[in-house]
Amino acid sequence: MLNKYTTLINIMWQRGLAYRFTIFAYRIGEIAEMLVLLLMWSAIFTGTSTIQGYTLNEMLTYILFGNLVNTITRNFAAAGIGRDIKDGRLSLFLLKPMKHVRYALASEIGRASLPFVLSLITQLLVVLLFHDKFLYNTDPVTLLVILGMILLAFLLEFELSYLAGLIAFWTDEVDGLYTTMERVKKFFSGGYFPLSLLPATFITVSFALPFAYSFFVPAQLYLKKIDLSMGLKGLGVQLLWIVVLAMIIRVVWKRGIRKYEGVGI
Amino acid sequence: MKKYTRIWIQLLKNSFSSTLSNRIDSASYFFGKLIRFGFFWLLIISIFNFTETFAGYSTYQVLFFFLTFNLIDILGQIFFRGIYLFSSDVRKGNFDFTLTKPVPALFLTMSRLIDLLDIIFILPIVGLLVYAGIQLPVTITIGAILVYLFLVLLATVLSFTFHVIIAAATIWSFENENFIWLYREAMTLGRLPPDIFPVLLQYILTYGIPIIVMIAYPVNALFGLLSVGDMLFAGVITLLFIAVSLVLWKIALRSYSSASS
Repeated sequence: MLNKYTTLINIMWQRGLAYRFTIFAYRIGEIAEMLVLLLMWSAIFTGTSTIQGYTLNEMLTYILFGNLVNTITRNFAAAGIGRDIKDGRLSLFLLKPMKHVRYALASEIGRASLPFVLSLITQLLVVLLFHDKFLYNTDPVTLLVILGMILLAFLLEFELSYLAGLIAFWTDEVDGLYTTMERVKKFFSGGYFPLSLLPATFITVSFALPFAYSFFVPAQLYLKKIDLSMGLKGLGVQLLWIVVLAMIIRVVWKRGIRKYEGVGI
Repeated sequence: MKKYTRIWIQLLKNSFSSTLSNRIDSASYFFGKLIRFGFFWLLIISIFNFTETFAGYSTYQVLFFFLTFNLIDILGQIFFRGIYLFSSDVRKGNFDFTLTKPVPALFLTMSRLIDLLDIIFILPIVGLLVYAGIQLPVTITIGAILVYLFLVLLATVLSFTFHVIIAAATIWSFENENFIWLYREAMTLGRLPPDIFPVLLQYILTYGIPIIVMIAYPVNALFGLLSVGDMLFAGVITLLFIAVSLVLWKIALRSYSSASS
């Protein structure tokens, strides 16, 4: 039963190896963006020691740790699913003895594995560059909750991306929608700056949305800015979103498949 | 020149048709551009809630850096976006069709994809540049504006040379997604004043990948902070990049193997 999924993961891992320079190039690009944020905050902190309760070291750790979590959890399922629907390749999956959503998830796990390893290496190099500023949290319970949060965030991000890909049943092209969604997500996840710099209502809303759990909340937990009970509550919110999104995916798939024209059959 | 303008306008019309045929996707893309722009604008404004100056610059000065980055980035997107289709053309051998047309291959390669949304998006950018320019805490002379525009023109030429180098590398490696995204990501280093970077990085971004010349030089010229020597250097490095990129392109063309033939 599991064999077909592990085979898929393996295939995607092998495919990633074929494009290792591409993956590495993307990582370099990401580091450039992260570097801008790190240097930007370093410049802002030259005149002050704390900003909204953050010290410079906390802010830099927030960016470094949050980006690491984000690298693991994000995924690009939407583009592939959109193309499958548009080009009619989805027809192949309809004949296979596995659900398309499971196929896509296994593929995504395989695809994300290599970038994850490379990200970990490059991220650690950046941490080394800022080693005197990076704060370490070695509490095993906190790290365990963060690990759980990362796994659930991966699933959540996959569901959101999969859902965006399914829109191709109606529009053919999903890149624009997905790009927009990614940008909104980055903002609401606290990817540009900690959400706590914004009004309190904004944080309350963000905690109820699924986005903050792939950057802001794990980073806050790591920095001990929120306690474990909040972290556990966060896991509950994530689980709830996973169930809700799974239900929405089921409905959208059922409706979409009726619209599917199977181009090329 | 008239011939090239006519071809470019025809390509623009094609792009218009394509944009209209994918209305939802095009609208989403445009909305996405606005969101990314809006969030970064918000980030800059938020910075000044915590500090009086940023690397010695005021709010509108920092916004001017950000807007100039957007202006130069969009100009590159409008005129040289064809590069995104180039690797596919080389892999499939479709570049043969470009080579056989009675137009320079480089011109057609760069302009065969024009993003109408970028042309629309440049209007609010220019509007905001004028608005931020009026708000600047320094006196702006007509001469400074002319130097700014000239340096923006040089930046666009430099952007062109980067695209040519990427095209040459594509012929050699069959893959350009890496190079073009490396370039796009490197460009984002110009969104903020370069004074925040360590000296070594500033050197690299001036003499190696001259992003500082492309973005910070025009802005500093407008603020009256750029020396004549720096202006001359901008001209020299642009000429150097033109020469190097064209030589690389010619060498690359010789090694094009026409995959499908």
